[in-house]
Amino acid sequence: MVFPPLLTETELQALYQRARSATADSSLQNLLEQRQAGDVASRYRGAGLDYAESRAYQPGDEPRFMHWSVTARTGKAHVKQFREERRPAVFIVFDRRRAMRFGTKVRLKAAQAARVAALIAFAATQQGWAVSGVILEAPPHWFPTSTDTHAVWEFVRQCAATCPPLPTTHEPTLASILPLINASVVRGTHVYLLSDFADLDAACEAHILQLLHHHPLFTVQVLDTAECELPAAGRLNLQGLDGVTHCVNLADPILREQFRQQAATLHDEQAQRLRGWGCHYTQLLTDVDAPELAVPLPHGMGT
Amino acid sequence: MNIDWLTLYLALIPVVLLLASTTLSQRTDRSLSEVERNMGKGGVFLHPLAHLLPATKIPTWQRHLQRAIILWLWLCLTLAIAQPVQRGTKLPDLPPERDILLLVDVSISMTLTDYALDGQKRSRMDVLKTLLQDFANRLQGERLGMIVFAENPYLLVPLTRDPTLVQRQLQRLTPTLAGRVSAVGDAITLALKEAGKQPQRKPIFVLFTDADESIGRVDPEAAASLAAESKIPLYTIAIGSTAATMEGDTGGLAYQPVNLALLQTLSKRTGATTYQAGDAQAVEQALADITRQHQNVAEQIPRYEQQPLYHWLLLAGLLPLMLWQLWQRRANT
Repeated sequence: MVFPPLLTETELQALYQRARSATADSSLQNLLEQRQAGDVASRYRGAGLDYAESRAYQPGDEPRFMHWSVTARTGKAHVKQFREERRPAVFIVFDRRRAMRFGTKVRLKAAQAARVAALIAFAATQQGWAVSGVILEAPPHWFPTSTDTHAVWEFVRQCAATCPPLPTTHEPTLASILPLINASVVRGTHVYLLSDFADLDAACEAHILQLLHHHPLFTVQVLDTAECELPAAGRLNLQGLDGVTHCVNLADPILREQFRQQAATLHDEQAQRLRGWGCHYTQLLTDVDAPELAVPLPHGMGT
Repeated sequence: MNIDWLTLYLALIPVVLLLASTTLSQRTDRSLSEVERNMGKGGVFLHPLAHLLPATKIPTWQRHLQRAIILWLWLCLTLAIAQPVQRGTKLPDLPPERDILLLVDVSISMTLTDYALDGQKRSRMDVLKTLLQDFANRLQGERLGMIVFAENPYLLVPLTRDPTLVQRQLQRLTPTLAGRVSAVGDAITLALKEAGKQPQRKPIFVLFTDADESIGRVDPEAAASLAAESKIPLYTIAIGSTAATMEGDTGGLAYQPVNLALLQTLSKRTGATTYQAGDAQAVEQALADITRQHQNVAEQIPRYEQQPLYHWLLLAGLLPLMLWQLWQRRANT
């Protein structure tokens, strides 16, 4: 059995064009702080050229950045703080695990996530941002930072390729991959999390908060309509991710209403948690054709 | 209660198929991909949030019951294939019977039209067929066999209790079926050989012929002596006239009268009689003489009344299934 890729080459070309036009749209610009091109000033304090402010000395600070005049004036040791300079970059976490390979209408969740990933990567590379990412599957596939258009296309094509067969071993969890991202990404990189957050557990909280400390974090929850509402499809055997088969009669409106409420509660809870931690949260259904209208894309460079 | 299984070997087929399918399914299960296996399970769909659904799993006892019902049905069907019958009272034994071998001459001279019926000329063959038909009808309950002969003798119908078979085969008789001239001696030899297959039974030979002279490898008289030695009566029925010539068309054949003297010699040697076809009284006499002969005890295979039982098995198998389906339908609505 041969499966088609998640996105065809024509679709990718169309997405490239749409990324170009979407970045021209300024309605979402206020979502992003980054407006300047080139090696731009970051909102983070650290090593740099521009003096920003002074703060009290803490053990471990470099003595060469001591702010002697302030130290002399106040009588307490102070160090200079500089505004960090950096190249703007995005990091895309593209989830292609078991739960994402599901879809009832239009396309798979993984395909929708791949479209968003392509839009973000194209928009970023068109703005001159650096792109890096990871395809979350078993084993996770890391993509090094690059500003080269060809390399970015290669990453997008890998995201849009046919899903490999499901592994027999356990797939990596979100909680196991988040600390690795934190370690590998330059501070201030825009991190996009494209997933259904099926395994957003308490273990993720610390890692996400740590990520948020250094990076703006955009979370896109990709969901299928059947995950929010069950169709009146009669008697079915539904198998969950845990392999347990539930025999249900979907003709029963009470059952469907119960499921709708429970699913809504679950998704609301996940959205609340992500928003509460400080992430930007977007819910995206698989049948949405223009995800660029919902998801803030990296743009605004040099304008 | 005695139960016989008529086709026990047929019940082996489902058993063998079951074993084969289980081994095959085990083998294919390993080679199929996960997707195909899911499709094969019959409507199992994946859903990431299936755990939110109420656990309306079929209770274990229901699944076991369903399995048991299917197994029970399979068992009943398999047993039904073996055709169980209940053995009833013993049927009465077959009446004693005679083994009568009809030796029929089909030489070319049988086409001669010696006989006249209602002013129409009839060939010897027609008369012979009518005669044989009459014999087969009148000798119901006896075992009849038929040997046709001309140059060579052939066994057309082995000894059988089926008079219909004999009558059917009679219609196939045509002159020159076995050659042109009649070798009576060879025919008697073949009949003796056929009779020798069941030496404990005494057969009766009835020879229908228009033979004029003896042709063939065995002299008829010598063959008749052999029959006499085995105490087998050889009745002869002469067909055709004894007149030296015949008026009218002979169809290009040399006319051949029947050699009554030879036939009488043959019969006498075995203690039987010669009759002439076309003479109604003579034929009646022949039949009466034959039926006076010694009767053989019929081969007795014990026979019983048989009451088929398969429908009870089908009912026993299908009734639980129907009730189960009805109950499920009620439970689902």
